Amino acid sequence: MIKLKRLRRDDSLGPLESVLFLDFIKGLTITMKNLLRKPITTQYPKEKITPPKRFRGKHGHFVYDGTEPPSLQAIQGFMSFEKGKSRCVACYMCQTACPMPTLFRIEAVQMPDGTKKVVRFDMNLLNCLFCGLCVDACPVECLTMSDIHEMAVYRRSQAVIHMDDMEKIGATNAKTVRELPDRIWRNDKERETLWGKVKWNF
Amino acid sequence: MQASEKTLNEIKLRIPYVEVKKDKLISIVYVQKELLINTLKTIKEDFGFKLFIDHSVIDTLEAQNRFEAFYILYNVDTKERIVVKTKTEHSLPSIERLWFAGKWAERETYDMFGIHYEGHEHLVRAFMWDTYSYFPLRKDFPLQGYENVELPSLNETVFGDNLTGTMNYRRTHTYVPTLKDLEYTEKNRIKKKAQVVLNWGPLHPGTHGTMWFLFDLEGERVVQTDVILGQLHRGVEKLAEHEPYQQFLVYTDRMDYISALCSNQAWTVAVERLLGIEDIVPLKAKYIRTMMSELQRINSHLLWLGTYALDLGALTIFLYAFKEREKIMDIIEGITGARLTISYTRIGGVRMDLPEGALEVIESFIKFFPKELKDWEKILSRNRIWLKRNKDVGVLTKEDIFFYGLTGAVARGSGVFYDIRKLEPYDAYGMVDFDVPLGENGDCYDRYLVRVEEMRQSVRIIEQCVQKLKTMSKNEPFMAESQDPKKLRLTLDGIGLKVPAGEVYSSGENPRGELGFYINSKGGLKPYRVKIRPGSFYNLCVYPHLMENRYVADAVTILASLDPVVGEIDR
Repeated sequence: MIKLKRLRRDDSLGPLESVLFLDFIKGLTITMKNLLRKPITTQYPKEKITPPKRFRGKHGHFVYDGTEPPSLQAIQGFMSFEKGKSRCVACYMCQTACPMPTLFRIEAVQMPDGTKKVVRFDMNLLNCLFCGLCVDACPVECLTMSDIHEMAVYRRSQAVIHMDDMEKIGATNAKTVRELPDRIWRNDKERETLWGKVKWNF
Repeated sequence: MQASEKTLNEIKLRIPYVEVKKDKLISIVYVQKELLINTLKTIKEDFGFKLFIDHSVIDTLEAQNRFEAFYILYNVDTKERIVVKTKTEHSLPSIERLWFAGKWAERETYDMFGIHYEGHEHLVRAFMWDTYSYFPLRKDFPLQGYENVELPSLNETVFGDNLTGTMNYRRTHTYVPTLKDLEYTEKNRIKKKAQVVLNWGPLHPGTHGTMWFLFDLEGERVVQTDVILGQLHRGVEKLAEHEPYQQFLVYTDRMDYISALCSNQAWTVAVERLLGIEDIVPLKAKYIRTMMSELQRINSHLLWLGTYALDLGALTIFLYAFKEREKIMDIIEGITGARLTISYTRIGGVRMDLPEGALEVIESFIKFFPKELKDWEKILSRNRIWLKRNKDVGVLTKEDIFFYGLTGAVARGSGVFYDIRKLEPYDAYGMVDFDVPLGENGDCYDRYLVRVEEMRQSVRIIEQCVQKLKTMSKNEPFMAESQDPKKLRLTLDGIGLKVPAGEVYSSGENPRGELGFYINSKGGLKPYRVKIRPGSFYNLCVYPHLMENRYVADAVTILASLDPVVGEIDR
């Protein structure tokens, strides 16, 4: 059942309206109403809004700290992990899923005891699209995206992030964001300037 | 809907020299190149396929008749779509007498494939500059282009950066136009008839992007207009041929960057139709997608309303609209993780389920939004300045709509019922109730009314989706599960998704018109050819016609009421 709605056109002013400037007065009442409202702006560099939990910012690596998913526990015997270091297994799935695969550079070596050690994990964030497909692809829940979004740098080489940067980001992320409930915003108070009171159901 | 067996048989009966083919996804009429114009004319005039949708060619790399051209046409009355195909070596007859939109499509095809059009009035490149010597969408043109120019600025090592390999930019670069090239292009586009040629753009806030307009002026009256496009051309169609299906989704964000979710949805639905898995996509995913893309539609229309009013001098509306827009940005950010380049849909579902509290926030938004909208209408709709600048400016008749291939709010403003959400319901649009607003006169004022009413209808759709999603439990799936993972892999990351051979034209209703994807697959991980039908590109093609004999002051009004986005025009 297709419903059409012919629009009503009210496009000419009556004589009274045009002489008394009623159209302007009507508009100005709205402006007046808005004049009395509280400002909704955030003064950016001084005050900052916390990005939500799902925010896709700078990449990080979750570290090997005993919170591994079952998929990693099954193969951790073959890997040479250290406590507090990245839990990457160099499976290259992130690179396969990436729309711009050349931004990754991942290298792994075989240790004397036969285990595998990841020695290099660079990402050139100048080429990154921040789509999150690499995070979806990671089978051991190592790669993650943090809420860091201020990433301006002075040199091109600083835009390339290495494994140790990512470990730090991942370790902070694990403490602050990972365990949070899956809520739409992290800090409702900050959003109240714009939204007013939102009626929550819980 | 594809043209039915009956229509195809009638066409076959009427024009005996054509061959017809129909499968589940597409109805095709094959014809020889010499008889193309006659066939198109008969199909247009006698069978009512009046609306021009798209035209391009496929590079088949065969030794004989290398290029396969296709023309997509639509019959608004019987709601049927038909594809006319022909083969050619290097030239085609021009269809500019049948559809003006074809003229622009031909310019693009000439630019990208080097097809010569016989009888084309002014065959110049659409996106590249006129001294460019390659045809980039041909299959023998490499993805990265021919890198044979050294750009000194790229080779400077200012801070002693020592990056190697792919982590650094390459030392050589593809050819970049110089000022001389651009000057030549500008001179080549327009033959001065009147007093002075006025340049508008490419970097002007009134053009809403990087478009370069040339007005040939007689006093303040515009005699002729031309547009130079391509400042934002990134070759998305070429990229599509080199990306897996899921990975290309990321580039659809960057096409129409104001309504990324709608583009995401259109692409995902197109691939799902090609895979034939539209039915196994879970209901929850469908409702989430519909709800999100309607939010995005309101977002996009708000940006349009704000900047349109700003262009005409009503600054307050801009501030009010951006306040509400910020709320939608907050919602989208919380649900998908990004504000602008969203990449939320996945082939077979969505990336994540809705988070806790999302529905409450959306409810709180749609509770207050209609009131705000009413306030703005009170300021604008009967304001005398607004009326003077909008009424009877840029009038489009119904015939114009078909002749110039216009879609979206522009078509509906002129009273043509063309809304893909109703004509070819995708996702949950078939299950929700909403009206399609239609204008009468087809001027800028009607287009304004239509867009405002569309926002109200979007609120209605969101309301229904929220009610439905509230009844669904948290454990319901949001991603389709493949029956046979060996044949069809449906994952969030899209690795290993193989699509069978076939072709499909599927479109979605973007805020700026119909966004269509023609996908030609030869089987495997990557599409063979993707033609994107950008709504803004064809909506812009009417601009020179509308500007004839108008004054410079109307340039902004008319352009903003067509609402083009350069990311989608140039791709």
